[in-house]
Amino acid sequence: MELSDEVLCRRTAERDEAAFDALVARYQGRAYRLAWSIVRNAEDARDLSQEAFIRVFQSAGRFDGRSKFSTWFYRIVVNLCLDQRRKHRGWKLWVRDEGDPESHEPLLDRQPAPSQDPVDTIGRERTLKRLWEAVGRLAPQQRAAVILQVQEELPTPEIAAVLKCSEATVRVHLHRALTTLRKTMGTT
Amino acid sequence: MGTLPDPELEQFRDLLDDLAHAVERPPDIHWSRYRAELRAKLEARLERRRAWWRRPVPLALSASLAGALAVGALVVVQSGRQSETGADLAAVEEAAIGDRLELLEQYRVVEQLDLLEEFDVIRDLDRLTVERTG
Repeated sequence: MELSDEVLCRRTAERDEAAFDALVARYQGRAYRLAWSIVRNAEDARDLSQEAFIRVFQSAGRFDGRSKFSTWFYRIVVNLCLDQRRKHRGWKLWVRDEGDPESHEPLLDRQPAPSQDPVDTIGRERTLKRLWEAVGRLAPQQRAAVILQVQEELPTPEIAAVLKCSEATVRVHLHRALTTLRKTMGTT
Repeated sequence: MGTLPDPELEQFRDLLDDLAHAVERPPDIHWSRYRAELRAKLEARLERRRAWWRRPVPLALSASLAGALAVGALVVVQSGRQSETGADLAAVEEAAIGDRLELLEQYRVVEQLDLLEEFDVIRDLDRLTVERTG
């Protein structure tokens, strides 16, 4: 019988290396993919996801079992990625337009929407590629919320647990993200 | 009659569907190498932590802490012993005070006034009582 994540985590806390290896094997793909979605760099994603596993090994005893292991683990990965982005100041979205220093609207929000339907002009594949590129330029929390919902298919309460905010805040992040994406893709 | 779908919600749903259908995949990775790297990093981290504890400063810190704990324990034991001796002394003291308080007539009142500790006040109170009756 396959042991649950929570049992494996408890055993990891007791320094059971086989349990830790099982957790790694179970989550390595998700950890790497999630990290890559946020940092968009394969090497960084590999390092950050490995760091997340090291944190799990070191602090498995602090997992209290009140949430699912996956939620706790996703939180570690997302926090590491957001910290890394903060350190490297990679979120260029927050760069203000020099001509309008008072503006607090993200640069992306102020881009004019294309006048023609991009689906008709450049093809669906390119549109979708552009869509994900636009996701890459979203604010960190908005981007994480979108990735957790679309890619990891987490429900809102779990996204809230991962991002350590309320469900209402998650909805606000998603709404703002989708509004920005809609403007970018010219679907208004 | 059902409610008409909110056009904004519809657009958002379409966007989410598009995103879900076009989820990009990260570059492939060699998983056994990934796990070997992870194992090496973990070992290095654990070794660094062990090495830190072997350095002179942490050693001195732990020795100081152990010393402080030992002194603390000694103080606790000693104070326990002293309190036992203190209890004996208190009993003798109480007997002596009792002898000197033989003239205390308003003991109940004084007790209620919570002035037993103030021996001089008690004595004065007694004197006041004697003077009033005399």
